[in-house]
Amino acid sequence: MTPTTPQHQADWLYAALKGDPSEAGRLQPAEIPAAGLPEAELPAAELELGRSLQALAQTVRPDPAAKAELRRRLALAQQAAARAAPPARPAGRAALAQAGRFLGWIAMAALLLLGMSWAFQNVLPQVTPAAPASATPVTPTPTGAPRPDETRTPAPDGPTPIPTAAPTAAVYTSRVIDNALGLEAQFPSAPAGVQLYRRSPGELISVEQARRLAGRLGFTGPVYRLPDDQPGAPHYYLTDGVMEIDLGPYAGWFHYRRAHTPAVLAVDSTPPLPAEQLSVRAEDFLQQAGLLDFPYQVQPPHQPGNARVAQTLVSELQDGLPVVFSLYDGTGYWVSFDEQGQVNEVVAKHAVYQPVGEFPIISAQAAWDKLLRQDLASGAEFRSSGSLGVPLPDVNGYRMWQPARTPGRPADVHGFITVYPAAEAGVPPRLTLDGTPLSGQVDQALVEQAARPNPYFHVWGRFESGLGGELQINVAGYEVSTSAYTSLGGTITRQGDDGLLRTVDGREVRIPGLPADVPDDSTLYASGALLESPDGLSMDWSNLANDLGFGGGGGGGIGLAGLNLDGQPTPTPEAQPAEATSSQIQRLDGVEGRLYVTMHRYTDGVMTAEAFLNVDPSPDWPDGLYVRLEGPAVAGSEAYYQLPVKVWGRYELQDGANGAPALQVERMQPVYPDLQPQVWFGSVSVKPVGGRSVLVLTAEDGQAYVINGYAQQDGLSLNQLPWQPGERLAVEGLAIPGEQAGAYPLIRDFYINPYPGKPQAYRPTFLSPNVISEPAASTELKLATIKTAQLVYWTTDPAAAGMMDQPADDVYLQPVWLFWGTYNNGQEFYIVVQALADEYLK
Amino acid sequence: MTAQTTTRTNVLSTSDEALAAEAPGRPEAFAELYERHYERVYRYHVLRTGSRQDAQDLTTQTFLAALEGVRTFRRSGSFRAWLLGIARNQAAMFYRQAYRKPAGALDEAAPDPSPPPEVLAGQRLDLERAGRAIGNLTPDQAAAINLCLFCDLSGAEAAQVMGKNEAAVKMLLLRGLKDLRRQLAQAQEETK
Repeated sequence: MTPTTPQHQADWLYAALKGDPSEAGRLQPAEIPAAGLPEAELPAAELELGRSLQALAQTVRPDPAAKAELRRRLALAQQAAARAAPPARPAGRAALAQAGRFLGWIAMAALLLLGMSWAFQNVLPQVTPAAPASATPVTPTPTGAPRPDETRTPAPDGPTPIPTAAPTAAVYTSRVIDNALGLEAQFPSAPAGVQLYRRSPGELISVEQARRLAGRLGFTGPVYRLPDDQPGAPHYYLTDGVMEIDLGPYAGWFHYRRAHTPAVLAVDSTPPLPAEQLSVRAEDFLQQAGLLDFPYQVQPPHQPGNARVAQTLVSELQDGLPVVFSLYDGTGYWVSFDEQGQVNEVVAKHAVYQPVGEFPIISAQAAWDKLLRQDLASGAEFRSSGSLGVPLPDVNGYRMWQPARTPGRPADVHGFITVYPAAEAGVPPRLTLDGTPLSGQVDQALVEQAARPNPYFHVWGRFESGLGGELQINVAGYEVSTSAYTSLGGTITRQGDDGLLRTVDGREVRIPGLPADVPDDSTLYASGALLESPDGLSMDWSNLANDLGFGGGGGGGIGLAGLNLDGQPTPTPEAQPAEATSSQIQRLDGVEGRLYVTMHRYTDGVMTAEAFLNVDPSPDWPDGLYVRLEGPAVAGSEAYYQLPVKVWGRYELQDGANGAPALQVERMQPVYPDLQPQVWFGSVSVKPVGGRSVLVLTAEDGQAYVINGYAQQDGLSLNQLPWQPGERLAVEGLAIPGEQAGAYPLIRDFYINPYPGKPQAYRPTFLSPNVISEPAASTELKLATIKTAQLVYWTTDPAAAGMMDQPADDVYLQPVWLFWGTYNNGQEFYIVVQALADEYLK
Repeated sequence: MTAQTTTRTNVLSTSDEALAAEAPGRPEAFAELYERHYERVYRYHVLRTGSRQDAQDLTTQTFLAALEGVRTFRRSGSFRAWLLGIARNQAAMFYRQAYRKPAGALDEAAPDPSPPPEVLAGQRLDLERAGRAIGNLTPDQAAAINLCLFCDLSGAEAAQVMGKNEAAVKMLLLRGLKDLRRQLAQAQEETK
């Protein structure tokens, strides 16, 4: 026998996990014992753990409604792509490949603007785009020499000024984004070629570097490590009680911001000062901190529609071009301001670049022509500040409250404890409860308990004033909370100083100390510890909000093409002709399945339900069936969510570009009219039933049930499952009268979740169909107008690259043409077109 | 025979790679690929993000991106690896936001001072122990475990996704499981 090496062990382990000795790649046949793998040589504990993970993976069940929703979206995307595709195929393999890549983008863009564009197609004048401008050829000159040190001065004016263009009347029909594309920008000149760079993140930050950098921004206190600091990726943290900063993992990367959210956050996105003044303030702030020690350019601020009042991007310049990875972000500094126009947040990310060689680029005109011709050889990215091409909801009405707490008052609060270990000897760790520092009875036991998962605590003592006037809790005692952190939504009614929240599932929860400016009888979302007493439910709330919040930007795009730096053409597959669509219709009468419902919430508050029928595989339905239900008979079906129903109707399978299968329902009825989903609390064990190992739930009333979803697995072992022996679980499902497994009643389970809390506080998932927030249906016609065109260096966010492998092309710094503009409703968008000549893209 | 089974008969016996080649012109080919791989992609994102909602969103983005890019798929490689490569890139995009780290653990593991209220108690998958521990592995170890064990990719396919050779992936799997076992044992000790 060959001696065991780590690689042998790795091969054997892999082969055992995959259940195939022949998979033991590096082993020669003679090394594999006839009986199979050498069990004695296998790392048994790792094998067992690996098998447990494989079993765990099988328990991950996607939400069928979400799956159906995606199926529907894909069908729409295919439909849109088919509609947007040119009638004739371009000639040539390369053209086919280019069209193919771009067609995808069309599909996405068409999705974004579905339903908004067709009118323009008919009424706009056809403008024949100009012939593409040709760039002066440049022979690539790879250079391995290190880049000379840069002059660390601000760029005087920037080599690619954005011209102020007089608006023109030029409007183009563009199948690229399936709507009218206006052009108000003048195209800047550009060199025939630029240097390409590879990016590296630079050196890891040290404690001393972190201390020095933080010191430039006024921090003098002890240096801590972030709680989720990982080996090889140091992150340090300092605070002065008012502001805080975390730094790392690379030198020069930091995030400076306010340490605490105000007790009442009322969002007003109106910029406090004109953009030019904010840019000056950002530059002054960074200058005073000695942070502008590299060539930079202050970019015009953009409003991606988040809660921040205003922001400015101070970009690094590389060879005179700004280095960006989105319109709203880039290397250098991202600066945000508060309502008074003061800097309240700075994000810094720098990188190191090594030259690869000079390569020819296309002109802005040529890039624009490609947009119009939709035959891009280069990739493109499209982003807009709204979701799915629809304006972001108005964020200005959003309000969020936190409990008003003052020094000297007793503290009796619940929250998550975070431990910041000290980065230097002799300094105790910093502990916070939901961001509020803890002092007093903060012992090692608390530190250890807080390091465990879900460190939700009940803490009591007194509020006092700490560092920099920061509110802190002088702890007199603590315990791991017996109440779960919960979020509830409902209608709030004021009752004296308190409020009564009536939740959507019918519970009444007292909200003590309701802020005076919370409107009566309004919708409110509350988060905190749900407490039960003889008087009923109440909440030790940590925040209240009048809305669920708001998301970031949206958009799409096909991503950028890979780089083909040797300039040799790459083979591309032939595109396939589309087939004619067909439709099959048949009647379904009395087919039984389980009903899933997806709720759609529109920005105007309208909620609609979408129903799906899931039929498990059976002799009648060998592959099962999952079909969307349509027609008036579906109305009110949400009442049967998760329940078995029978349906009658006309089943239409549209297997082309016309949509997903749908059943026109004529009649629907529950199979068990008196049956409701239930929740059982108990623990599970594995028992033999009928010659098989099955999962048995022993409920807290002593009754045992077989859980149907696990009854089919042979050789079931509890250590393959994600629950601990004796762990208290909540099992949601249906118990159909008469359904048995051996002597046990059977539960058709929906969800199984560990749940240590009180049964009364448990909120079953079957009460909450999946809710999808939809953008408002907009009927306004959209004109997308390009207002600026700029040559920039494009790369990915270096903060992401430090934590995961990215495709090799992502770590290049490559030239792109950045077209920025707005829709006629003011919403921003931008399109990036790779500027490298076609032969250097693949 | 039902309408659905009739339709799927044509594609059930077809390889992923052949379907992918046909997908640009045959919507049902992509639909079949979707049916085959939806759960695999979802599982990848669940383990990666630790959040059911984020995993759903990322799965959506992965398939939309795959639909856009399926013409660029070359039959010389595994479709599953190509698809999981897209998933990996989508996750990378997800973490583009400054300092947002791949959790590898459930939402509870990264206490947010203002968690979204729609995240309700008791609705999350119980992958916390595994997810948290895997999140503490090196990114390559975590990727090897996720792709080989959670997504059931072969070592060669995982190697394709990760840009490594197969032997390296197997070694990452072994080392990852060793580290994971140590972490889980340590966590268990601490809870005693």
